Amino acid sequence: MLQRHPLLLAEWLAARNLLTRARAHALKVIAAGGAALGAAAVVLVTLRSHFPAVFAWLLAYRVLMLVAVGAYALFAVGRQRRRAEVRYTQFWLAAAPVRQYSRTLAILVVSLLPLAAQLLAVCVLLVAMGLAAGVAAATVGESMLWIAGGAVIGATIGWWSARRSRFDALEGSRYVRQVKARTDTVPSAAALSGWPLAQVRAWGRPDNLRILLMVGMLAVQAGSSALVGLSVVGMWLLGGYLAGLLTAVLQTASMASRWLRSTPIPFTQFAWAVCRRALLYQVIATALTVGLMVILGSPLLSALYVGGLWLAIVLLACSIGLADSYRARRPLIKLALSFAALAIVEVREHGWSIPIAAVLAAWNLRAGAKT
Amino acid sequence: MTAIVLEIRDVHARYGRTDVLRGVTLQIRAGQWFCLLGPNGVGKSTLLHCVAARLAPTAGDIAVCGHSVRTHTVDAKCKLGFGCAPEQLPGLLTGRQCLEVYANAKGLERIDPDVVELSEALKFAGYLDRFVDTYSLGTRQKLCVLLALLGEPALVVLDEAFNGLDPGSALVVKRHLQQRLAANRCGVLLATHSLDIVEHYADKAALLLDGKIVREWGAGEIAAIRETGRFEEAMAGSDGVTK
Repeated sequence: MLQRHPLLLAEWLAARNLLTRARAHALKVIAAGGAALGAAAVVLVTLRSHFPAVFAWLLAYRVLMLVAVGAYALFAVGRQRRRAEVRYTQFWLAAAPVRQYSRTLAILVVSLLPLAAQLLAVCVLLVAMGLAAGVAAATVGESMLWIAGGAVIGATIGWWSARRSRFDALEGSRYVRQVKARTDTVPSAAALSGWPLAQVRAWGRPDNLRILLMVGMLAVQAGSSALVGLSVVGMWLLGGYLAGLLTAVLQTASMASRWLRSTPIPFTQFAWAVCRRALLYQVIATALTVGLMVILGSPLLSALYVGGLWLAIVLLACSIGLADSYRARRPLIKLALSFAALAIVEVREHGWSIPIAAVLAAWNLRAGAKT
Repeated sequence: MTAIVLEIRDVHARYGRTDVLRGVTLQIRAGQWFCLLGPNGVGKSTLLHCVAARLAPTAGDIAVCGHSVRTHTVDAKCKLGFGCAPEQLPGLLTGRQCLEVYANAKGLERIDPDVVELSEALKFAGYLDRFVDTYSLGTRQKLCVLLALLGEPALVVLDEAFNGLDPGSALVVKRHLQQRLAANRCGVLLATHSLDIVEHYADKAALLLDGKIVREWGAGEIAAIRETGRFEEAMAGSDGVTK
């Protein structure tokens, strides 16, 4: 069947070759997969007492869940379709005589596959949670049905709504504020500190922001006051910004280290230049979020604790990302293991994760500085 | 006798299980333009990445101005100007910011006046305050060359640096490099497929095949070839090229 659809055949061959290449590192792949499964099992066993409440909550808010999953699927499929349309206009087979229906089929498969994989992962997770906590199969099945229903409805609308999109949203710097023209050029690493902020602005284009805005608006309970409503939406936006900024620091660290690897830049200068403004923005946005939590009725100490915990996570993630990027290593596994360890510590001994994150961060920074 | 700016001794390198370099040895002196030739995939870029300490050799050593890139990496990098690939430039920085960051990374107190002059000669000044992701390939290539020349490097390493440059800009860069070489300010290591550059500008050239240098041409031989203008034939006579 694939022989009649060149675009799908090309995608399939690329995926198969990727798997074949991974076979050369079979031991590493198996070890990483085993470690990930083991970490997931530990997290599941540690948190299993909370799972019945999670399923009860999911079914109590089933309509809200359906809408939220539907909204996610709508935007995810729409975005994937737009990307696929752009990709296939610039594809190496763009000039080949591929029939329109074959092209549409390829775009459909490429657009739906990531969502299908995510849906499958969520279902597997729910089954694992159900098994770990001994939740009734009917409850687990009903939760999965609501989630799958939302995904199907959202994906259908998303596919349909993206059919006539404008495909000009790929410019990286389009939403980044223009830099003021100057006449002098003075050696300075200041631009590195602005790079993560520019990256977040580039990601914050309207089609991404509207998802966050919609989720935030859906999170506002009916009958809430205007102040509470605005605070909830504001918290979602700030949360999205904080998470985006952290991701941007990690990505910038990786790209900047690759670019500057042939220069004698010391680690401390590199790390400080990349993350100093991002850290300042993290502190300010976290303080605002803590303020909003207090407005929404959270006790001050709890809000401060959540803020402190987030900043500790940021510090740990930045230190791992910066040190490993500088040392030409990939930080993903170390990040995943550190976060899993922090989650377990936080569940077992509430409050200990902050000092442990600080110690791990210091250890990573020291390792980077010794390079 | 001018100083040796690059000494590569029996360097081996590999990606995964694939041996890419199998004992490369060569030397470049200040004032020399050294062209590294070879078909695609024989290890030219890998060798350049080893020189720039972006990839660690599995055996052998590389010294830039006497500093080993393995043991005295920072000292070696201080003497090195490496032209990175255009796609590695940061899209969300402007050209001016790239120059500033790179100069800062090399510990410079100011941007070299002749780099500023070169940017004007390349008509790059108008792009300085635009984001790199809006640049064309040729404009990115100009920025890569400018970055490589920052900080008076004793060794300039360029990988296919003339790809995408218009003929006028390419000529400006070649003349600028010649001026630096004439004053013995640096040595140039250029990986290229352009035999025209070898014929007209190179002082030394080497052919890399299957991870080894199989043929070297000295200044005298290149001058003789320049007379006949038949470098292709001279290269075709080397083992392996015609296979």
